[in-house]
Amino acid sequence: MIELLLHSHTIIERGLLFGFVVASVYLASRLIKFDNLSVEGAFGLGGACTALLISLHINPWLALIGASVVAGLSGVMTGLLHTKLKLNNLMSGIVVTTGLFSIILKIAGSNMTLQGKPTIFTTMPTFLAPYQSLILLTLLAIIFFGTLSLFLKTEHGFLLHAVGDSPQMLTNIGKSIHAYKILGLTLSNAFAGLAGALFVHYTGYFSIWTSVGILIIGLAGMIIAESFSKYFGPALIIGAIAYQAVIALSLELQLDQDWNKLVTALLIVALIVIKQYTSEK
Amino acid sequence: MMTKKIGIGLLLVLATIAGIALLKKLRGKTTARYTIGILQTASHPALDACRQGFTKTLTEKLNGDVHFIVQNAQGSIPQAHAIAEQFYANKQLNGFFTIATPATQALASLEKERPIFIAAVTDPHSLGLISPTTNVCGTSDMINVPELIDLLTTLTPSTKKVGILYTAGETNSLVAAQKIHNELTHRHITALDFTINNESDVQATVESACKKVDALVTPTDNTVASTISLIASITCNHKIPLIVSFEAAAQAGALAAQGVDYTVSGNQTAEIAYQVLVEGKKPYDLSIEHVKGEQLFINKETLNALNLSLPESLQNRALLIS
Repeated sequence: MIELLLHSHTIIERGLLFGFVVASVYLASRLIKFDNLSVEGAFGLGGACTALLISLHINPWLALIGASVVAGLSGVMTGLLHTKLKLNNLMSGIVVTTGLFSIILKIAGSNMTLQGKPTIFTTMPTFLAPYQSLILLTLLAIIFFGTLSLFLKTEHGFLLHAVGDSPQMLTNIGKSIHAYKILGLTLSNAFAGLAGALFVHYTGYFSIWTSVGILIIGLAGMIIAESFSKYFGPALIIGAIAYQAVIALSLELQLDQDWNKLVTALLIVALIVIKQYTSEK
Repeated sequence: MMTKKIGIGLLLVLATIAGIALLKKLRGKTTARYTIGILQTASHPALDACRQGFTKTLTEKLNGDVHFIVQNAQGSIPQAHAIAEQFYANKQLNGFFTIATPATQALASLEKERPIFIAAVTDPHSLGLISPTTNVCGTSDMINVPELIDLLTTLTPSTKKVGILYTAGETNSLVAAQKIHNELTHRHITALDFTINNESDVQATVESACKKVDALVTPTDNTVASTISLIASITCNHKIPLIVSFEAAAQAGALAAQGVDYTVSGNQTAEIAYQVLVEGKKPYDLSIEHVKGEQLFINKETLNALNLSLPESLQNRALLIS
């Protein structure tokens, strides 16, 4: 138990990091009401791009932002498949994630070690140890979540909301639903790519298998967040941290490991039921 | 109001879980001298065998004076990291045993002091894990290429041209295939690469390969493994010897199969762990060992069909199956 307290800052770190995945899932499935399965591919793509750029001795900050931009482009792809070629939501996401697997293999192979090259975490002053990562991730979360919150309050942000809530309104005022859907998916995948890139900086290596199961982390975090707030903002990060804390607790309990996934599934069901129950009141 | 109640309810649940954890922890306090954290990447027969081999051998060597904390990431790398951070924070642990590459990378990225024993990792050097100050040692499941080629030249001494069959997208196969290629060239045997992309082009590739070579070799490769019956039947029809590096292949009709026994890799890593924990050796001095005593399987029917006989030097260690 004492160990759990000792490494509680790493739980918050992981929560902050996966908070970006939660934001990605939220932007797609809540804001524009599009269940985006290309989040998984975008997470891997972000990681692969940042790993490649770092290995080419590019500035780690540029490597982070560049990876996020490339991942955002995969969102454009998902959007175009859906709007132009009329693939349904789930199918366009699956197709993009599947195709990206090959592209990721060509970018970074199945596994790439940074071999001690500088990352955004190593640029932090060492007197902050062991809290450098925590401070940096908190700052990044404030910057990105803050910027996006401000953006959602602008006219474009308002119209993004409308894609999910009342698409008819967009048509009435002569705006393209398709364009705003693509914008929403771009933002969603850019956030997922940012999370993937951050994970590579954080751990020091890239593996193509990291993105497997990332959707459930995003979804679980979002559902926990929604039990106390349905708006975009810090609630999403708190949801992600809460989910990481649940995982840490279940590990601490040293349950039979085969049950881990069932614990996750039950937790999600329980939270959804509680949420439905409270919204009825 | 309702959300507040639920908030309190959730907190109570969390507190209960924490309480149970604390109780279990107190009750589970071990008196064993050594405590080892085991981080397994996924549930898989080979990896399970590896873990069992390790715990059995180490328990025997330490006369039971060892306690294992076993965690399994179930194939999820974020989960492997959560476990690794937990292990890293647990000062009770004297050392770690990581099974397969993702688990090893997750833990090695954090823990730089206490020894990490590894198994079922194909190429630890390319992962940047080995340096003079390393705390990583153990076994690699890379196939023993020179031995595999020895086997080939002993079984079919007249071979001049050998084909290497593997999947283009599998990194492990790629590394092993290159080693096989270099080893063959080194011995003045012509090596030809035949790559497959997916299961549907296996047949065409093998058919064309059989017309160009005297023998066919494959590294550990998932696509080859799942289509081994097809590959074996085509090579048999063309009377081409097929030598494979995982044991199940011989039953499917390949001439010979020689590969890593994962229980042995666990046993061997336990021996290395003993040398570090008890004899105080440095991980770097032990470094990474190949898994010893790869079992050799020969398919009797294929041997007869190819009009070959089993050389005397192989008779002792080969296990004949049909």
